[in-house]
Amino acid sequence: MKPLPGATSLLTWLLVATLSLAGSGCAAFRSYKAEMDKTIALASAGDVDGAIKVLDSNNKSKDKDLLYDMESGELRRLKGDFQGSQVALTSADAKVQAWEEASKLNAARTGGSVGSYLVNDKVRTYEGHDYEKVMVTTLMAMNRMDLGDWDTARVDIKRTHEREAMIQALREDEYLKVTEEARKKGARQSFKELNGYPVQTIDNPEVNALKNGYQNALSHYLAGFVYEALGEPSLAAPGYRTAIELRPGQGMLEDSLGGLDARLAAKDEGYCDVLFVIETGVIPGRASQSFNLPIPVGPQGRWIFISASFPTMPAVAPYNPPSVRIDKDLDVRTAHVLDLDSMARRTLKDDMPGIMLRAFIRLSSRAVAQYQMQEQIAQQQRKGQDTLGMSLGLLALQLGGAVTEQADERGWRTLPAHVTVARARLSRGQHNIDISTGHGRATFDVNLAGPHALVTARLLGGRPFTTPAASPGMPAAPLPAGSKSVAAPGADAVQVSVVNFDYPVAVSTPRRTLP
Amino acid sequence: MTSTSFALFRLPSVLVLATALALTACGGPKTKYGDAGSVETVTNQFGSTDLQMLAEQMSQSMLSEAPVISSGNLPIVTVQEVKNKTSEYIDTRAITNRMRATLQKSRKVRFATDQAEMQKQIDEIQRQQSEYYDQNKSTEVGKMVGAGFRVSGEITSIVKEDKNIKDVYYQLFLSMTNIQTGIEEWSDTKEIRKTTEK
Repeated sequence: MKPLPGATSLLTWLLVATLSLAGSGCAAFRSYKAEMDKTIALASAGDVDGAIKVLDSNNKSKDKDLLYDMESGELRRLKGDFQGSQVALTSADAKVQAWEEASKLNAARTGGSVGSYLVNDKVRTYEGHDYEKVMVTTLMAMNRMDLGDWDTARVDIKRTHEREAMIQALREDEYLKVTEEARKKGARQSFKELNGYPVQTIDNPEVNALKNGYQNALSHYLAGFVYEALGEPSLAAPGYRTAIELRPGQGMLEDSLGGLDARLAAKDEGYCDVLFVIETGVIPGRASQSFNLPIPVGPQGRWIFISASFPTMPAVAPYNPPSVRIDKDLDVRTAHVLDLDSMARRTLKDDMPGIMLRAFIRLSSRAVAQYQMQEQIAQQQRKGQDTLGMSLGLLALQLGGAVTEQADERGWRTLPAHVTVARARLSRGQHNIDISTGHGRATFDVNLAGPHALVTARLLGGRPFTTPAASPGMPAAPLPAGSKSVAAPGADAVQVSVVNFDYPVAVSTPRRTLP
Repeated sequence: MTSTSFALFRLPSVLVLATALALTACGGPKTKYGDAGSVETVTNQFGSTDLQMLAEQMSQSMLSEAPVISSGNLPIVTVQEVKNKTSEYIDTRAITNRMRATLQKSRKVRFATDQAEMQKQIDEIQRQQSEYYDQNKSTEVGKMVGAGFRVSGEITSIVKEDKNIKDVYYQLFLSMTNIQTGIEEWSDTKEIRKTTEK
């Protein structure tokens, strides 16, 4: 039988597609959303060990990928296993660094494999989104703080804001364009001094939303807090300043910068400067949506229907600012510093042109292969030859396409949707903390020992659970006996960790009533 | 067959070739030692060259322009925090540490323990008071020498940019004040302008 013109292309397509499928193993068919929905449900129900087991069972390969490391790092952190979390996140960070180096050497590299043009995007190597890369080092810093090692946390903090600076530089032109448009529409840039520190903000939601779609005010605020605790005001000030410029109009953030010099100059009168990091919700995952797409092929422009899939992101509950009450009578102001939900949506929006281009190439090549087979069948029929084999091949091609055409649902799913910070100066010793959110309420006791302390609380749908962050030999204060966290029925679970930082930095007098 | 559909037929082969080319373009990272004093212009953010320039220029200005130093009286100075009023993470202590090293090498200035080092100094004195040390040879409490002068200042920046150019201007201001009298004995500003064409 003489092959039709273009039959070589068909064979090439089939060969490369088969090789890509074989090389990707199960990756091409894996539903990351289904896997992580189950994992998160277990964690939300208080069974973090079970969640880790499910994660491990879905990632049996010896060489773990970046996503596994990130999810494992967050789950272990949730469990209070800060050392284990640090091991996983260190592995994730090494992968991110390797890819960053590779990107610098060759900015035009494919970022994936040829398989994504033939099978689906799931076979691409997952390299992590910018916001995820920043969260890796941010959580590493928080782990170090939880372990009482604030000096080494400084290393992760420094790497975090260096990574943030790279992201800012990448987006500068985009920021400039949107800022100029906002100015033309009447948006005003304001300059103000907070105790000598200049701050520049703009009263335009679009500009601020764009910046917060890429940049992480939590990381900058945390940098400010750690540098302040280590007695380095020249590095603390830009941390607070950047957090204010990203999230303008929040008094709590402004007080942190305005009061920096006074706090550092004040004598140690036995108070503790406590930073509360409150994490709520779960970042929305990408979901694959399938439909049939008509594609014109051949000299007559014949329409061929091909199954196509694109990622979508479901709506989540709006942000509800938590309230923090200490010892039943002190209400502390909060500041919403991180909206990972918006960051994930912005990333999907930015990814869509690339996703659509790859889909167009993939679907076109599949349509052409299908068209060629149909033409060969028609030719054989005209010659009165048996077409059963070819027809079965065509059916296999169509079914194979429908099965493999799935959108890439991957993304760091165990991250919280929102992060809020609060800060208070309290006398050292035991205090009762009461955190209320739209999802539930947590009350617990903390024992503050040093001049600075970090308290983290995670609220996650399901039953409540608590994990103190005490480690032998570390300056961390375990939760006092009898401390507890509670959640309203059907509300979010709570993970709480408390760590003190015993560093000889003077703190100012406490404020019992905060505006 | 039309040219469009012909192109579609050839697409997979072109893709394979393009991917292969892209992958072969990769090279391994190369690391080498360089001159720490050479000019660094990787980005327009505050960098090593800026730090070196500001510290060297300020040190020379202080040595030649500050009367209390040029008179050869060997003044005792303490360095206070230089306030960072920029939006960048600039470790101003790295600037003052470099200045301190240059000034000390000139043998015209001595430095008293500054605020940042004070706790370490106290810790060491207290450690020597313990029973593990020969008290006849231990450092006595109350013998530290206070500075006669304090150096303080601030670094500011102005950033302007449009779609073609980004201009960054840094200004470091330092002053030396007589602690007893409050009289400012010396002050100077040093500036850096960096322009990047996009």
